[in-house]
Amino acid sequence: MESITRASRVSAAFVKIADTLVDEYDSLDLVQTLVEQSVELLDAAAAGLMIADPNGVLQVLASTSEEVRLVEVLQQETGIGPCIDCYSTGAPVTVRDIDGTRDRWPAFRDAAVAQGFRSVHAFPLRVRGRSIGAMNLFRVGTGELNAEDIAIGQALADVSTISILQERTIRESAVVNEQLQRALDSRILIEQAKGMLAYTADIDTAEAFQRLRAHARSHNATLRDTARAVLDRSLSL
Amino acid sequence: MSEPEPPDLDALCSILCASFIEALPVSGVALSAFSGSDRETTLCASDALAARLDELQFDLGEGPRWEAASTRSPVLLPYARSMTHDRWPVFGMALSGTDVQALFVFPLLVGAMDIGVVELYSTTPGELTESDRATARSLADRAAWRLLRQILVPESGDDPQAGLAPSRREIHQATGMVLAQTGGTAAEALLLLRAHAFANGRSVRETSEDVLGRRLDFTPPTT
Repeated sequence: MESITRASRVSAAFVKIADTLVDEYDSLDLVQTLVEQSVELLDAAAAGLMIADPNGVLQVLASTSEEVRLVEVLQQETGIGPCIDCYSTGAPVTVRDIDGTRDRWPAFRDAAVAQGFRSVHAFPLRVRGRSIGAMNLFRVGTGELNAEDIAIGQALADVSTISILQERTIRESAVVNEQLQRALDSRILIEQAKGMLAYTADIDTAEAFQRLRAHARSHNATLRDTARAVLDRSLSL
Repeated sequence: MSEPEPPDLDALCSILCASFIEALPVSGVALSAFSGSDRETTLCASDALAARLDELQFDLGEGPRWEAASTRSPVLLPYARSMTHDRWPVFGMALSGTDVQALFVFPLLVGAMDIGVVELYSTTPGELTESDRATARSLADRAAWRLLRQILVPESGDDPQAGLAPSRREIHQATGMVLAQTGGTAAEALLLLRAHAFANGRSVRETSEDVLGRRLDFTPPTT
């Protein structure tokens, strides 16, 4: 019974994702949905998705929590850690016991353990043999993912890649770079808009993100365009 | 946290200029950082003519560099000599006294921040191919991010941790807050943050945290 329930949850998740892959979908909102789904389906505490910037440095594109603490763990990773290993090798990385990694990635270990994360699983985002980033799942228990979990995790990572790159047939690396850049650029616009909203409405940045997302969805607009409108002062939320 | 020092933008600009010359069929390139603010503009150019083209537009206050900056889109003039220059008549006349046949200007952008512009010229007329345009946009993105990183973390070198800076969400959130406080542009807001950090011997990140924690406010005093 357990597996039937699981299968239906997985298929429901992919239907939900497919629903959003219509003509003009918002890739950032979709990536946000994907990390949220990955946490539910794979029994994780948190998830974050990072892609490489034009200089090859990983940047956080989406995370299940807007909380500073999760982002902090992910950002520690941009220097050194399992996510960057996953990105640079293009292969999944599993750390079954973060606390037991000793001095391999001390800054990452400390930040992760402080959040109660005991294991991490990183899935590569790949396109045509090239690695563009990684999706990271953090769990409170130690141990590895089973084969089924790994297959689901990688499928979610692959859908993320497709949604970020948008174009189905990518021939030139310059086009890939452009799409990646646009996604990262959107993320910065959103952060700037969050700051602006947080100040003008006197709310915290997590609440500011919720308002942005709610407005974008109810007006059939992208997060990017909504952030842009806030920054242009043509929209106040 | 080491004390920040003013970045050496000149050296970096030269490297970035070279990347355009190497990858594209152009005769010369000029790159200017922070074009939106005359307080702080760094210009580097591959040759005297490239530098002259930028300076002319700066002095005249008109020309494709300003249009690229204000529209945040490339301005492509593949046949600069045979076209009319209604939007920049004086610069257009000045152009006809040079060897320039084609001029391509790309804005350097990160988020809502205008980091600068890159101006490419050619002594032979003709359009850039789709592939060349994609390469130019890609190089412009790379240059914008690299400049932003240099602005935020002057002593970057090969330190992998230095790459953290542009990704720090708090810096971008604080930029948004300062934007709301000052009513200026995003690039100016970032410069304000950086200037305050330098003046107080703190990092941009620490300064950003003060802004987010509502301990620091750039709202101009009412007069």
